[in-house]
Amino acid sequence: MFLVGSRLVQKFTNLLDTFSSYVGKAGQFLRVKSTEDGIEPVSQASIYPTTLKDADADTKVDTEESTDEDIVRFDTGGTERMALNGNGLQILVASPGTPQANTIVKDNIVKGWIKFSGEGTISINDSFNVSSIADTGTGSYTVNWNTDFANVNYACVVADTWYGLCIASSYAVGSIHIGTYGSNFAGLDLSDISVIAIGDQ
Amino acid sequence: MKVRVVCRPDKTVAVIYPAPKSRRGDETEEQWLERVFTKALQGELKGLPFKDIDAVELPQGRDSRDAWVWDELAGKITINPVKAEKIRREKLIREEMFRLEQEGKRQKAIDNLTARGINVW
Repeated sequence: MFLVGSRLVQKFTNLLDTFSSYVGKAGQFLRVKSTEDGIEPVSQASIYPTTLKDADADTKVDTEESTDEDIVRFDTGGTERMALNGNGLQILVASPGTPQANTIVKDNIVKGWIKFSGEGTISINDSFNVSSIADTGTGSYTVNWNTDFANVNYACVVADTWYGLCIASSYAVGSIHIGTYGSNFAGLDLSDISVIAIGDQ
Repeated sequence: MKVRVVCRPDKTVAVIYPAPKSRRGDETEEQWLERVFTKALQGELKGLPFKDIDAVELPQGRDSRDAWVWDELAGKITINPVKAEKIRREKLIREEMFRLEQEGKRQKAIDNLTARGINVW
């Protein structure tokens, strides 16, 4: 409680140089007016910008490209390069002709892998971007990708922990065939078969 | 875990195993299985009849995997005994051929070394 002139002031809103009511001001901040003769309530959005950008605005971090999309977008030179959302960090940069050392681009990310046992009861130890495997016979499996490749020009390697022969063939955008063979080139079920694939999606 | 058994015209089967990590957070188990099973029915498996069974109903062991056939009456995969026996014999023959081949190579190596005056015994 204090005096303003001859007026006894008990509340902030009784001041003469500020707003007269709290109604509709929940969660807002106080700011000195641009006219420098009082204070005013302002929303959080007007204090915290949704975009952090450089002088010419072509390099920026944007958190609200569309309303409440919950994506952080990273642009450089006017082009979006990365997007972070609840599903992960999506790299949108393609490799240049000469790759920059120690740099992640969309071309050098592993797009799918699986480790499974083809012996006894088939079991999938762990995997990424694999929806299923089809056991099509002795030493014969099809790995079905969850998100397809853009084309069939991806690279796939297969290995096992024995000295069997492992072959990847029948490349399709949504699947690949894995064959495992014994030393006499007959189909053979092997344990601990690893498959890794890299390519365009 | 459910698996989908796909029946080929010659009654042999392919078995589709879902990858546990492929289930999306917003999917029920039924929606997930239907999605991954449907996606797997491509290539040589496209358009073929199928049955969904529990994995524990599959035959134990895979020694006769290529003799697995779908038995419509039993409602499960059974092993064709004639084909299983043929597979067993073929496997024995292949293994014996491989052993003889290796033995032949070993003897030839011993003969060559002996001819060069090197005693390997």
